[in-house]
Amino acid sequence: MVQEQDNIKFQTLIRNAQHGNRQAYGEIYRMLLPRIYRFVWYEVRDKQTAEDLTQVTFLRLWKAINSYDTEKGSFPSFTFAIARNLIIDWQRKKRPVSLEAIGEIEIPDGIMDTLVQKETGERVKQALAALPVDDRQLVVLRYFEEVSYSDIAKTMNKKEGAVRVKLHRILRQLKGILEKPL
Amino acid sequence: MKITQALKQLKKEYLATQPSELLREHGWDALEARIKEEQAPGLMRLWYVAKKPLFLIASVVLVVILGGTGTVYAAQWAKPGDRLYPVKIASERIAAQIAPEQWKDEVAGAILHRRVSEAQEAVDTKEEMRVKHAQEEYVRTVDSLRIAGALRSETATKAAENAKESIEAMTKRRQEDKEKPSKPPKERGKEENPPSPTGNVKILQQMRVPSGDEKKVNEHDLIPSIPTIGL
Repeated sequence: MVQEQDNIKFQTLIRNAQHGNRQAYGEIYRMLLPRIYRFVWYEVRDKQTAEDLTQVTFLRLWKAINSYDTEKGSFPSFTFAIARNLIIDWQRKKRPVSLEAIGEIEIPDGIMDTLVQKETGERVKQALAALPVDDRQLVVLRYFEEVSYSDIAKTMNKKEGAVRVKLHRILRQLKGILEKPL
Repeated sequence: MKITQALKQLKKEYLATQPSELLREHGWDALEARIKEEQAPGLMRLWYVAKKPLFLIASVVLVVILGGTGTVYAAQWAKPGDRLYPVKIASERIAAQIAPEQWKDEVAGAILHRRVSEAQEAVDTKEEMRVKHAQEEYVRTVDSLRIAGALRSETATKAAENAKESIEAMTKRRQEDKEKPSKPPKERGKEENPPSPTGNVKILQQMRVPSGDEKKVNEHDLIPSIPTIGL
């Protein structure tokens, strides 16, 4: 019930923003900011760049807001699609992130209970980092952001069946990495 | 450890990533300012640029460097051909030269905007000499901005081109108006066109692209688009 009310409120905000209501768009910004920021940060791994790309995402979203309709999936996934394009543009201009650099990222205390778990988690993380951008974003959207297959398909301009097959393959690949002896 | 478990662990870490407090607290204000700027019609966009704190600071620094004299301040309102106009130009050159790299686009944009405004005013006065001065000053300004390294970026170059097109379109239009034979008075109630807008909008809408095309010029196409600082 609460979720339904939230959804109605969100749809109202979108409609108001589509009519040029900046205050409504400000609400949408505040609601989506954490999700878009971390999605961007996960790829660029730099606070300043992530903040800049996040802001540009919302600027582009404002310009494109009238082209949004429910046919294009959920509003967050429409926003992820804009962020994704910006990330791809940014990555084209930059060198790929090295595995060494990713290895330096600290794991917050208390997340991994044991050293074994830590090592396993680290291996999955490194394997994720080594995946092509598209594959990594599939995992992030599905398993971290819990976006539906259908919305992921719209975000990434792919067919839903292709998304499912691709994710299945990626998981098998990651599983293979985990099963290798340490 | 299964892959799903490993992903759950990574998800926790992923969700722990949060935007900085600065972005959470002030991100919307910065974005809204940028949206307002983008929505503002052509000439107003430059007002937003000129209103920015960094630009104001740069202006204050300039006045301080020049001794803070009233002459320099008064010269900022001088028009081409006025006695104080060279002082205005000199202060602009200094501003373009001392501006840090990240401000150069904004300074160049504001200076070019001044030239376009001056040309508009000159065309309004219908004084041949003022129009000529305004055109010459535009050419000199572009040269001095280039020397100051303020026209290196693509945006600044585009801004200079847009300013040039604006001035050329204005003067061409004026020339056409001069050459056009005066029309006989129209019959009442048989107006060919709807009432025309007034002020700057009118001037901008009357402009034509100097390519010979009959394409109607959009006000936004003629105004240099300047990037913003900090967003």
